[in-house]
Amino acid sequence: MSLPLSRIDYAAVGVTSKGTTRVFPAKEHKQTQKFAVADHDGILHVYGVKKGELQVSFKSLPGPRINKLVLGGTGHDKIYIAQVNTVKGYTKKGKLFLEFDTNLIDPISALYVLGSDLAACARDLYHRYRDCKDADSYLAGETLYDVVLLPTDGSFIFAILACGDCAIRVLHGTKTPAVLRLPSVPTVLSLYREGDVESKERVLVGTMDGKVGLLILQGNKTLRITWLLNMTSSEITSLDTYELQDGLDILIGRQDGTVEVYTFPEEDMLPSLRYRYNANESISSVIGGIIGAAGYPEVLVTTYSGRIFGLTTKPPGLLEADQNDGLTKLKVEIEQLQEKLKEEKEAASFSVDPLAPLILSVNHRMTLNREDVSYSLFIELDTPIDNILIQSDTPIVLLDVESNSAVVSLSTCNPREGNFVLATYRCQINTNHLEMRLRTIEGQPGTLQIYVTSQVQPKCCRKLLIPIPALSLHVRQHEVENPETRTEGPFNALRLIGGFTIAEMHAWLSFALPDVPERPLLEEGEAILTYVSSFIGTVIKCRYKKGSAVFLGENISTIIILRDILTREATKRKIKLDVFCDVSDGSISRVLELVFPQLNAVDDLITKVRILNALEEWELKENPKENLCTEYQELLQKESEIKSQMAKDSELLERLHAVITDLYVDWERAKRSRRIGSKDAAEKLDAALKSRELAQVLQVFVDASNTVPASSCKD
Amino acid sequence: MAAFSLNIQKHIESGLVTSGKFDGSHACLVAATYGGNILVHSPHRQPQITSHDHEQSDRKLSWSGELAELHIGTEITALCTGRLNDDERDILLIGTASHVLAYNIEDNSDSFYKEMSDGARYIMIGKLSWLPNQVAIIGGNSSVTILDSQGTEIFWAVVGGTVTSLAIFDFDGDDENELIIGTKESEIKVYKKDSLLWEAKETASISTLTGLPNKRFVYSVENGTLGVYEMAQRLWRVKSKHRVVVTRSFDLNGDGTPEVITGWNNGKVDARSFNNGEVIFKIQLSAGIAGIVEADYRRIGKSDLIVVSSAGEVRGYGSGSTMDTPEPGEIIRDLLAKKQVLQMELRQRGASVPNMYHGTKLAVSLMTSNGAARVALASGPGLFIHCAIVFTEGVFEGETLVVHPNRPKGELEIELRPPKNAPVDMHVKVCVGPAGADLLQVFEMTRQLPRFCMYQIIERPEQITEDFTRNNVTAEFTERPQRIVLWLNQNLVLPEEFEVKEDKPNNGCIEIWLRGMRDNKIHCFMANSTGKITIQTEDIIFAGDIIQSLSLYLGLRELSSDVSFPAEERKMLDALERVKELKEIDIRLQAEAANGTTLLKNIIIRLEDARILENIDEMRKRLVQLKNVNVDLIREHEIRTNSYKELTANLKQLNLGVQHAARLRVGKSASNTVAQCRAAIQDENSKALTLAIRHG
Repeated sequence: MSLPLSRIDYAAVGVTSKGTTRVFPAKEHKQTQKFAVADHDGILHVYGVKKGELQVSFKSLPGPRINKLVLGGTGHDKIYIAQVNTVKGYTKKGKLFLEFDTNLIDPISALYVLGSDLAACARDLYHRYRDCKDADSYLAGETLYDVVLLPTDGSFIFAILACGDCAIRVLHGTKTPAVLRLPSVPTVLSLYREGDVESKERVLVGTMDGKVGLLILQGNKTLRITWLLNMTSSEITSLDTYELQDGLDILIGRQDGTVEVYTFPEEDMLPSLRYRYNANESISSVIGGIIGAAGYPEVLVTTYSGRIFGLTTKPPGLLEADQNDGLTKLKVEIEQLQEKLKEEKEAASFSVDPLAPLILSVNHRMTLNREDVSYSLFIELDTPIDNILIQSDTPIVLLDVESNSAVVSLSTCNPREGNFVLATYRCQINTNHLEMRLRTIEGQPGTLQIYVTSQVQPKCCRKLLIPIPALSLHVRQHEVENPETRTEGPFNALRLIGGFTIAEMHAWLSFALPDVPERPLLEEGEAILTYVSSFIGTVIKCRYKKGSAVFLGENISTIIILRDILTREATKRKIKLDVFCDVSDGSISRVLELVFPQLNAVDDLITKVRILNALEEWELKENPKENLCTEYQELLQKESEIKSQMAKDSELLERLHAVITDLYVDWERAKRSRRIGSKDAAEKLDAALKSRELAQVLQVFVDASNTVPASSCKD
Repeated sequence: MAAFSLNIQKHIESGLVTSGKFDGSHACLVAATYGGNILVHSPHRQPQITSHDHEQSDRKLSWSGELAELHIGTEITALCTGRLNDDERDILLIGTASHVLAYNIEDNSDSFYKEMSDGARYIMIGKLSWLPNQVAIIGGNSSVTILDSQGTEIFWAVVGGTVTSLAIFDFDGDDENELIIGTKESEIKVYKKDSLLWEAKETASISTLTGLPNKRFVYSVENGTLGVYEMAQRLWRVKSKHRVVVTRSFDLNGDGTPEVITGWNNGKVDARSFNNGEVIFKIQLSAGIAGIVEADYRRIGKSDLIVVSSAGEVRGYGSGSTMDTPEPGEIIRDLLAKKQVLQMELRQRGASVPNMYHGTKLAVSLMTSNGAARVALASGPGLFIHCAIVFTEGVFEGETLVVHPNRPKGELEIELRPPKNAPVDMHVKVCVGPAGADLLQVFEMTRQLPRFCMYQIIERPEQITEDFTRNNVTAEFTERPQRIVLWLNQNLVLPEEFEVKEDKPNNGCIEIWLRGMRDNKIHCFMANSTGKITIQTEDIIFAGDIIQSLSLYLGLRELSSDVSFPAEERKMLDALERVKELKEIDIRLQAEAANGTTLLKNIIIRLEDARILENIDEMRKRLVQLKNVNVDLIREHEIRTNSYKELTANLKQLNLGVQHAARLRVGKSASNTVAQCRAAIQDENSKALTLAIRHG
């Protein structure tokens, strides 16, 4: 933390999307620069600081929400905004010079302008226009998060796409794109720049799990990425490179509200953290420039709710004096607003009923943490949150989050009325965002209904629906680079034959599996999807085409869940299905082999914690060298590590046991067409599980004689 | 920031930390650790030249460097230091489940050892206005006892629950100290001598109480609430998901007025202004806070604030230690935020409104039926209720009850079952909108459920058993029936306003029959025109609640009553009898345990002998004996704990009975009842006890 920066607030606009703030290049060296911001009210603002005071040089009329803002033209002085599926161009002075309907069906989510080329992405479709005429397009079949165009020597252009299937795709004309797989989903692309000079081959990449990489493109041949920051953290929402003080820095904005400045590393070095700040609401843009005062570089930050502030290198002592004018002005403004509000309130009593405002933007994201196999639910509102109500029609477990200061209360609820969880989070004052964690159970699909109430009067609440797929703990596998590393199988197979189309099957699968691509990925008329369970590591492979589908799964439980979901969906649509289920005997031992190391590790951990607790109780922790055996000495040394591991997932053992129990129940069902309750199954497995011998557990599965009498079973 | 920090590297029991000057000048820290041990940390202690007290028995203090340990051997429930006489050395009071030990650290000896049959849950040393000297106040499972410096009991009072916290401070501004008691049953009571000055009901078990200057005090509650009262008015309260372990007042920023210092179970310590609860300072420790004390630990002539974590970390903060100055630009940021909120509010008001929303109101009604108090909601035409959240405390496990119908409904009923007869403030948020909408209007309302909302009015039952009529309380309120009717209307949920029928022959008489919905029992409330009230009920607590509520409403300071509760009396007499028996059993068991211990000691000596003589066979034999004796001892111990548990339960029942009898009276008459009952219980005189219950 070698860089002292101080926050200076400029203005507040409406709710902003990611990448809707840009700084114009400086006319003169080290002079203040103007900047443009666009918000969800559809207003484009251009601000500049003159004589130490922030002035609006242009403000457009409200309209549909603006999703993206980029600069283009020679000298980067033209503003391009994406409004639904229209691209508009404004000059710096505010003159509208372009209004171009792209004819894309979905709203534009990513935009880039290079010379006379304009690239627009909508959902999973990339489209490039040259001089507002169609040039080329590409259907990725995956959500496209960002796009950047790079010039080449010739008249060609490289288009770099950040795709939802953990890949960067580089398009060169209409050729098949080059694909670079990443360990997680890239969300932000930002051109590497030094001052006003933008690189032609280097692009910064930010990922959903908080990593930052540098993408280097050499010619149209090599494409490689070096990771600058390789730690899992909150999602990257904005990136820039800028020289704040002594050398180039990387500026990072994150979803949890963190703004970070790192040094840009030399070869083979790691970047060092120079500054960190938390704005308490998610960051939509960070960008370097000279804004507030000539000669003092700063980081211009825009937050989700539309607060614009700078983190400046100007010493705080100098700042105080500057702000007194602004302060009085602001106070006057507030008084005026209060006056106006009072008027409104009085008027409201006989004319307008204060209902159904058109705004109250909720930003949310639910991601699976692979480490402890739980979901993080992030919810953000543009105004302070009063409370959040979570309703679930399927069993879930809410977990405690350290950073979450809201008061949680679980209400009593009746599962028979479809309420498995009713929980309220009452927020502390001035909370704009909240992170919650929850754990789902595989095979129990459902929907979360989330009611977010704002603190602003008249109070309103926004309702969100978040589906929980049946196989919620599975993650999508992309093409495996080296398939030899892992042996797969034996597989249980489920074959479906019937009169469904490929799109129908794709849609049904999205009820069962998370993160299903926007469109089926076809290879020779057949779509392939591979998923792996983040909990126990079993694989499931789906191959489907018109009229037939094959699912191969190592775990019989997942196959049974898939079968139930797919047949249910087909019945809903009155499509007849022929279902064939081949159970592989070897698959049981495969699953057990995968589970057992985990089971043993947890068992070990529990024993260790018990020993540690006993040692503490008996006050034997002092002088371990003299009093205790080496084993316990080691335990004591690793005490905090062991305890934190235990705290991470205190119910892991139960969950693993539940996996084996389910396996047994489903095995009985698939193999012997018998239904048994999970309680009976747990009883039967109990002794074998306690022995922690794989062979013994396997014996229970193989031994058909100890199952319940067949009379009580029907399928 | 921290003036000093050190680590004792011992587990510290939360809440059991105190400090004192045991030699009269050097501050020491005292804390309870695992297994009934007490740790004394004295950084400035002079090394003792001779260890003259080596020969003393095993419960004595043994020093090693700055630390000393005192083995108590049973669970420690309370710790306190202070001075009880003119001696300038502090004395250490240790409370266990059955005794209070006053220990003189410097002399390394007991000062007194007093049996407390009601347990010692909290101990406090201080000066009360109505007693001449410093006294030790001990809060037990259902009573408060005051001891003088010799350990002699000088005062006893019954409290309706387990005492969790005590404080001594000037409550009413008369420059005299009052006693304030917090209980597990979530009550805060202020006593002056034996009269109850004020009482309040909080939402959960009280965890701490701390007196502040200017008639104020801080309280904290088990569910994470922290607040400040001034006289009887609550100034502010905040709630957190964590639990308060300790509160204290200390002038941390050096501005001359003390702040509220709070230690939380997640390791957070914060200092708040006691005017509005604004946090002015906070730190985070790695383990939960065990205690916060004030002591001159650096010998600089003034006290530091010392924070002790449950992992043994100790940090000290001086008064006036540097505070975070507000960052530059903070003001502008706040103003901008304010502006934004105002703009947002204007925007939400100005937003165009679909016609169907015009004049939408939510109809709300309160009723009592089918075993619960119900809040019925109905939305306007075309609109549906998506969900309703009730925020209140003390009624359900958490702080909220959510009603979420399968699909949005036009009408919704919320069932509430308050467990106690107390008025419940509830805040209801109702989300209303068209079906399928994702933006909903939130209606908010605050309602109070009447004190007796769980009682439904019924017709006079056809058959009334004779037993029922024998249970009654009669008291002269000497008040017009009209005022009593007003009280009835306010405290019951009635389908229509109740009125006095003046034209009937029994002019001005009131007779109401009620059914309690918690237990389906029938109660009858009668009043005649002169204000004589009779309550026929089998539930003595309900009768007490009615008397207390009515006399509070009518502003009565004195009320005596005639009571007849045969069943209740019998229960108390049985409990008295049982206590007598159990005490005898306990003495016998103690003797047996002593025998066992002697035997044990003998065997150990024999075993040691055998070991020295290297006689393996003998050793084995002794070890087997040892094992057998040990098994016996453990079994006996179990018997003793069970019998002790029964004893406390019976004592508690007795004390509760006394409390219930007292609640049927007000003022002097109530305290007389307590005194009479106490005397009767101590004399084990069952006749006197019956009389005391009946006539006060």
